Amino acid sequence: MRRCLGLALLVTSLPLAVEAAEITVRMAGANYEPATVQARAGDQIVFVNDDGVDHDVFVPTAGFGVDLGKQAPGTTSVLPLAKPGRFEVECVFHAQMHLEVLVVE
Amino acid sequence: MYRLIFSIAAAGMLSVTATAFAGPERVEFPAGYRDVFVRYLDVDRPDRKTKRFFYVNRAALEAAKPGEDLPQGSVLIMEDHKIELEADETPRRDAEGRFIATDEITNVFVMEKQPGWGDAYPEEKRNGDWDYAWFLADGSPKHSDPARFEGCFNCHQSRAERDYTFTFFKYVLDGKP
Repeated sequence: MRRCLGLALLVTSLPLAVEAAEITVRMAGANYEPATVQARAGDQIVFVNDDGVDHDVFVPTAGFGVDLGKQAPGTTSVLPLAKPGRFEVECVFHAQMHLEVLVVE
Repeated sequence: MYRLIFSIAAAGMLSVTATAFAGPERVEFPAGYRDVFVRYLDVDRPDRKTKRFFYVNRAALEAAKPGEDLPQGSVLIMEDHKIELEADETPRRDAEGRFIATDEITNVFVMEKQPGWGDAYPEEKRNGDWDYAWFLADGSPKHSDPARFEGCFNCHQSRAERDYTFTFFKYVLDGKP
């Protein structure tokens, strides 16, 4: 009975392990924090502009190019991670802002 | 004395001439670029419901070296396309989650680098030897007032260490994938 219960718990917990995750990246002090992210395809990154100036989420890496546009203080933007690969995120306005993203299957 | 005055006057005239020719009018529309340039990057722009195609002339692509300023004669193009939309106006996506461009082109932005072009601008504004122009799909100028290009100069200033380019210098750094 205990073994059955354990197996049932394992089975019901397995889908949770592959559920899409939401990863938060903050922008305070004109830095992406954290500066590196590892995620799975299907996850998404939520960018929170908790800084006092406009920022941006711009991916110039071939195959992943996207520009979410100007993001005002106090707002969020979402970057879906549709496919595996490695790419970089930059702020158009602040060249020192860099985020490296690795997306695995 | 006359020679000195003449030299000063000539230098002044050259300066005025260079300034007069600065701006979008000296950047020609690269007719036929879709056939002869190389498309090196696509960028989805969700906030504007557009997809941007980036092109470079072949000579610049071949000559560009990682970490070095781009060669004189480089021409970079940013071409805006409308995208396919679902019935509820949300962007339709392909199998990789990317926007799907239509054939409708709304803007063609061109930046070109030629020797001495930067001399026409004050140092605080200058983007190396680059200048900018903005066209419609048929090659006619969308704007010719140099004041409309202040935004180009200001924004590209942030990438001075990449020869004032947001994408192509990075593409070369990444090994021209």
